[in-house]
This record gives sequence, structure tokens and C-alpha cells, in this order.
Amino acid sequence: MEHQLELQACIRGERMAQKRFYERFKGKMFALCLRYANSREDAEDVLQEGFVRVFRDLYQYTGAGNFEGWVRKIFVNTALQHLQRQKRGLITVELSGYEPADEDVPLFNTDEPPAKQMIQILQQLPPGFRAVFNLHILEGYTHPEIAEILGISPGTSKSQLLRAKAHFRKLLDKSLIGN
Amino acid sequence: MEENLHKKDNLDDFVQKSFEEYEELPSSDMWGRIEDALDMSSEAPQRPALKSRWFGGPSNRWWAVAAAVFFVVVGWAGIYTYYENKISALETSISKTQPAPQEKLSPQMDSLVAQKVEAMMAAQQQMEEGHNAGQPDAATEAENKFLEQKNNQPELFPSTDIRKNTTSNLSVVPEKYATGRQSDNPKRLQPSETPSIPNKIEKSAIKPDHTPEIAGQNTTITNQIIATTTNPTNDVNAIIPGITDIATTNSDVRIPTGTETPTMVSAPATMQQVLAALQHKKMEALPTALPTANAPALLPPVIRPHRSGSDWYAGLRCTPSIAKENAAAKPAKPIERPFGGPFPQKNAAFVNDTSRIGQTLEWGLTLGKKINRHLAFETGLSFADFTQESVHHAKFEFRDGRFHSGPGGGHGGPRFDFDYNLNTYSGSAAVSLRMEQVDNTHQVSQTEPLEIKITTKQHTKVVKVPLLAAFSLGRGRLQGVVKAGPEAQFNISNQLEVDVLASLNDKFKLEDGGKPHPVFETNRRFSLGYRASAGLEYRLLKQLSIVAEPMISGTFAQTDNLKQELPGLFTAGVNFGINYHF
Repeated sequence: MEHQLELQACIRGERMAQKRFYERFKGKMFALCLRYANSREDAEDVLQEGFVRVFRDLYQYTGAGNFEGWVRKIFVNTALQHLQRQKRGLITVELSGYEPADEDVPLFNTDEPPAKQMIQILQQLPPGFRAVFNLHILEGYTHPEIAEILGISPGTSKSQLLRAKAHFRKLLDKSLIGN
Repeated sequence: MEENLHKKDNLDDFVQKSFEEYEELPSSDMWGRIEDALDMSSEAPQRPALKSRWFGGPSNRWWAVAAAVFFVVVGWAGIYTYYENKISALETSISKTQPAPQEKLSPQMDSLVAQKVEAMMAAQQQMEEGHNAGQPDAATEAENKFLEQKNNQPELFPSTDIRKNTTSNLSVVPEKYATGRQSDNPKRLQPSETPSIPNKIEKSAIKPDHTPEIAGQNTTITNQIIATTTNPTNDVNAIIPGITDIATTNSDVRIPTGTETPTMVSAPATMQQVLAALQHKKMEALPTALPTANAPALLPPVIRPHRSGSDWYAGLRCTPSIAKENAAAKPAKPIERPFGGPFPQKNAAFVNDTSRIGQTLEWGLTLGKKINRHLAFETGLSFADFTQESVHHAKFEFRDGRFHSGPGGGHGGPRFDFDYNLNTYSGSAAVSLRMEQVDNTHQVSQTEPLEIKITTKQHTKVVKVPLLAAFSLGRGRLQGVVKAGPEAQFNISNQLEVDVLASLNDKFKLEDGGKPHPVFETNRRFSLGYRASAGLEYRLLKQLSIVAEPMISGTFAQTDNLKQELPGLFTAGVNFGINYHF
């Protein structure tokens, strides 16, 4: 009930309620944005745009399903659109010849959480690989769903994921070997 | 961790667990940026202006299609006209310079003519010897026998063109200039006297190859025709009453009998026309070429049709008509908008619209060119200014509303914006209705129906450019005219106003002073349509006619770049106009 009142207040545009909403979700959503974005600055742009959209469309939330999932969906969509705006043909770029340069690979720091260091590795991947990797492994979308979201075939989604994982593993290995 | 990473199948789990509870904080000024963006988004229009990559949007790609059709049709008409004139000039040139193919005379005819020539020679000899008094004329007998044979077997007497025996070195001289030549040419025929024809020439005229036998040699005849007239001028375009004499400069040939009559052309004509008639005139072979008292004219008064003036016409039109705009269908699925919220972003609701009807008076100019007696091409420019009033009902559910957080409001109750698209002939207008909850102490169901009655007034100015094929039927002053063809319509102005609003749900009222201002989200600047008419044209004077034509015109429904259907416009009326024929 309290949650409903909070949402109604957000829908009515009450800034305090909206700020409370922001404080509640900012950490998780910024981590999500970092996984998709090319840099921290890009991730902040996506975070800002995502919260604006959430507040604008909050009235459309009917109460069905997990609320955090609904919010996350908006942020994922915003992040993908941000990538597409930055680079047209996000997924259709031929990446078979892609090889990350050694100097791009960050050295693994055991004092920092693994996720933070994996974000740095993810940001080294091409946007297409990054999108499929995130959508499948971390968001749990199936290949047909990814195909529909990105406008590609399920087969392409599968092959992109295999390559993305191979590159991710390679970069991770280099990062660990450096230590 | 390193061990986990090297287990191939555990990569997914490792990554998922690493990110499971992971959070990272953005910069401290992020909330301020979001607040600013929220303030801006409540002031700025919700829907971004749509830009097209090509001529303002897919709907305007008709520009290119219409332009292509226009250039093809105009180009075709131009080429047709050019080559028609070219061919006509070429025909004239050929007829002046090129001898016609020779025709073979049948052996039977050759024999008959030979008999006739011999009879005539005998008759002439009798006349010279004074033995013809009271005796039957041998030449007349031969002539009668010949004509009888000709009537029974007309196929033996093919027509022969005067040009066969000449190289058509044709000239016309006034009578006073011709006098001297007559004295120079003792064999030249005089109009008043019975011509005396050398036998060898008559024989040569009936030879299949038309080569005269002169002194036992084959000779090609070069014949210059001299037409003598009472017209004292040398102007071949001056109208003369008739021809007084026609002669040749070649002493070995002669102009056939009928050609020499002054009534060669039945009506007063110009020398130019007489020459044309001479050049194209066919005469019969030897039988009628022989000098007989009742020989028919060899050159009937056939003159090529001469067009007086040009084939262009221009006119004024006034067309009272009724314009009907069909209702747009409700989209089958929500309209996807770029950069919306959770995808697919959808339009909150769609208007339940009715058809719109308005009256208009269309004014226009026309310009046409006749290709031949029946066919013409016509284009023009017309202007229509029409106003349509219509009533429609916009239907929503409460959950379709968008909470409005800005200042204002009559009773301080929560306000909600309800958006929909009003699709008109000339574009899709975004309409936002701001409703205020009358009693905010009561919970409103998400599915609470809202219905708003709206009266709109649409004012449109259209310029139309038709390209019509016109078919004229009938003869005389009154003719039926059927026209049809494509029409380009350019919307030069389009305004939509919301006049009256009324909420049919008493839980909500329209916000005080909240009269919406529709904004055209997409504009249809150009439409390709059709126009057809069937009516009557009456010639008041030689160059002036009036027309009355029932007419229909219309445009086709289109889909704009948001995949919204824009309805077509249908117009029916009557063209009243006047044409001036140049």
C-alpha cells in the first residue's frame, strides 16, 4: 500500500517522492547502464534519460508483474536506443576480424569487486557483442526475444553471443595473466 | 576466481553472480540533472518533430512519382507534336520533288488507246481534206467506244499522277508575265482553241513507262507547268478567282485537257493552294486525257485541309463543389513512436471519427492543345478554399491519461492529459485534452471510461494541377467532351481548430481555459489524385465556347511516416467555364 502511494505521488509529479524513487533504484540502474554503455559518461546520460522516461510513463504501470523488472526494462531499452543512436547498424557490423588490443585490457585488481572490473572488460567489446552478451546472460532474454528487440535473426543472435563470450573470456584471461 | 573462469561452462554463472547484487553510484549531481530534464520534458512537446529524409516524409515521395509522370506525359505530347509537324513538312517536300512510282498499263488498254489514236488521226486527216461534212465523226466514235470499254472494265484504267511525266519543276506566273512565253512557244495551248496534239506525244503518254518516243529515241521529259492567272501580283499567297491558263515549258508534252480549265479549283484560292492541288492531283490515263468536247475535269477541287489558326485554347473555370473527407480507420495496433517509453510506445487512444463534408468554390485556369479533331490534352491551375466542420467523440480509459504535474487547475484536483491523433486529409494532428478530476477523494478505476465530444473546424487551401486527356464527340457547335487524367494537389495551408468540448463523464471536467491547440505532427503537402468530367461544349463564336461539365476529383488515402492512415478527399461538382480558341 505504501508502495502504491509512493508511485501515485511520483505520477503526480511530486519531486520528493521522485527523489526517493531515484535513490532507491540509482545504484542498480547505474550498474546496468555501465554494462551497456561505452563509458561512464555515456552511462550517466542513459541513467538520466531512463529516469525521465520512468517518471513520464509511470502511469502506464498497471501493477501486473515485477515493478523492478518493469523499470529495468525501460533502462535496457533506453540503453539500447542510446547505443543505436551513437552507432547505426549496431548488430549488423561484421565483427569476425575483431581482435582487442593488448593495451586495452585492464589489469585485474583483486581489491575491487569482480563486477566493476568486468564492466571495464565489457566496455572493450564492440557494442553489438556487448548488447547480446548483456541481454542473454544478464537480462535472461532468449535468442528469439533478442532477435526481435535488435531486429536480427535468432541465428545471428546465437553466433554473436558465442563470439562475444569468446572475446570476453579472452579479455578476462589477459587481464588475469597480467597479474 | 581464476579457477572458476577456466571452467568453460561456468562463465555465465560467474558473470551473473558477480553482477547479482552489484550497485554503483553515479555522480552526485545526477539527481539535479534529472530534475532539470523532468522540468524541460513537462514544458516541451511530448512528440519530437519528425523529419524526413526525402521531401518531408514518405507521404511526399509522391512528389517524385508525380513529377516523373508529368514529364513523361508532357514529353510525349511534345515529341508527338514535333514529329507530326515534321512529317507534314516532309510530305510536302517529297510531293514537290519526288516523282511518283510509275504504274503499268495493261496491254488491253494499250491496244484500245492505240485504236483510238489511229481513229483520231484518220478524223483529223478527213477534216484537213474537207470530207467530214455530214459524216460521222470517227474520233467521236472512237471516244464512245473507248468510254464504253472504260465503264465495263474500269480496272484497266488506273489513275495516273500528273507528276509521272514531269520532274515537277512547278511555277506560277501572272497572266501578263505569261504572255511573252506564249509567243516563244508556238505549240503552247490556248484556252479557247481546240488543242492540236502531236501523235507521238499522245502515244508516249500511254506508254507504260511514260517515256515518249521522239525521233526514235527514249527521252526523259522535264516539264515545267505554268499556271496563268489574272492576278497581277506574284504573291503566291494572294487569293485569286481562278486559273485562266496552264501550260508547260516543254514543247514535247502537254497538260491534260481538264487541267487547263479555269475552274480547276472550285472556290477562290491562293496560288499556293493551286500548286498544291496540281502537285497532288491525279488524272486518268490517256482516255480522259484526249481532247474531247465533254472531257471531265481532271483536277477536281481537292485542296489539302488547311488549319486556320493554332490548336491551342485557354479558358476560365468556376466549380462549385462538395468536398468529403473520409474517416480514417482506427489503427490495428498501437502506433510505435521513436524514443518513447517501454516499447512499443503507444498512442494513448485514437479518435472515433466521422466523415467530414464541406462546400467549396474552385477557381481555375485551363490551357489545352488539340492533337486532332477528337483528342486534346489539357492542363491548368485551380485553387480551392474550403472549410469543414465536424463532430467526433474521443474515447479513453482513465489509465490512458498522463498525469500533469505543472501549475494551474481550477479546483486544484489532479489533472491528466489525454492524447490522441486526429487524422485528416492533409495531415495527422496531435490533440492533447487536459481533464481535471472533479472529486479527488474518490478512487477512480483504471478502466473508468471517458468520452469527450469535440467539434473541429478545418480550413484548407489547395492548389490543383490536372493533366487531362480530352475526347470530343460529335460535330457542329455543340460537342460532348469527356476528360480524365491524374491531378496533383498541393496543400498550401491547413488549419485545424477545436471549437467546442464537452465531457460526457461527470467525474472529469475539461480544465478551465484548457482549449487544446492541435499540432500537425505530419503534414501532407502533396497528394496525387484523379479528375474526370463529362459534359458539353458549345461554340458561341468561331473562337469562343462555353462549357458545362459535371466533375469528380479525389485523392487516395495514404499512410504517413508513423504508419497512420491519412484519409482521402473526394470532391464532386460542376465545371462552368469559357474557352478561347487561338
